[in-house]
Amino acid sequence: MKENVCENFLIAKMAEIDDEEIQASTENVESHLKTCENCRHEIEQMKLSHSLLNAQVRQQAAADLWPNIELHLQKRNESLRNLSSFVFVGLLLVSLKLLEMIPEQGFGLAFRLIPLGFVVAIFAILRENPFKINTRLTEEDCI
Amino acid sequence: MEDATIIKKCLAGEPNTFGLLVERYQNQAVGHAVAILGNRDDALDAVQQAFIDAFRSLGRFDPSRTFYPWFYVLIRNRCYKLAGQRRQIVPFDETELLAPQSGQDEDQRILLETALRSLSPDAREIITLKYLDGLTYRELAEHLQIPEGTVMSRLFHARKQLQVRLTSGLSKKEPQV
Repeated sequence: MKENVCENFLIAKMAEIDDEEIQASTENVESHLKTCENCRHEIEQMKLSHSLLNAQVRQQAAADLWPNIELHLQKRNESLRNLSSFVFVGLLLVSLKLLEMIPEQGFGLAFRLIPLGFVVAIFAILRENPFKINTRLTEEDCI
Repeated sequence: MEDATIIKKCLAGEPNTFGLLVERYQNQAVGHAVAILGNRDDALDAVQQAFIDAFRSLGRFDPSRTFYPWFYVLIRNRCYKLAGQRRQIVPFDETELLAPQSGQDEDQRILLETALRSLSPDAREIITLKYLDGLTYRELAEHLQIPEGTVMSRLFHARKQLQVRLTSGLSKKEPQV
């Protein structure tokens, strides 16, 4: 219990040293410090490390992150474009299926070949040859 | 160009302007990430990912706020996520937290550097933000997303941790009689 009381006064005193607004009254803090040797010792120790730290400067870190970030964002845009193409083709297929479900409607052979056309379109969007097996790993695939 | 203008241009369809924000804040961000993670490689990974997170979240950024405190939250999230993913604690590398200065006691700086490195990541983070960046309690609360009362308490405990490390470091240096 006493430790919590001391901690509150120490925090208030450090806030005063930091030029911050303190929660407790200055008189109460000073009055406690007069009676508590442990707190006086703690404050002296903290003042020493406070002045030591105040004299320090952060080491500057140099970095050049934009090329990698730009590459990542470009890849992301590409995959989003491909995704939207897939979504469009998917919606067309669903519409086709719904049309097929209309009773007593014969759309003929050409209508049944439309899904094949969509598959060809998907490979065209992806710019992939479905008959080629790519066994070469690229450096980009490993990133 | 101001940060708010850059963000506006990014959202209006000029994503390459985001590069200006990256160039403006990358060094500061890497320094902060090093203070949390302790090594430069992890810091670079975390900051790079944080910038990508920021780009994706630009639509949710409130232009009346300043950019870096908002971005700092993303850096923290990435740093602590990366730290959690590491199975072992990666020891501090050669990267220094404190810059050497002319006229300064170099032994004292090294002692302080060693003491800072031995702190827990969150203690080191709050100490370096307070003293190396000069943030007020309010600014610390904004960066760390905690109330000011919690800032004061965490700072107190971080200072105590540092004091113990400094004292043990000094006693090791003193010759044993």
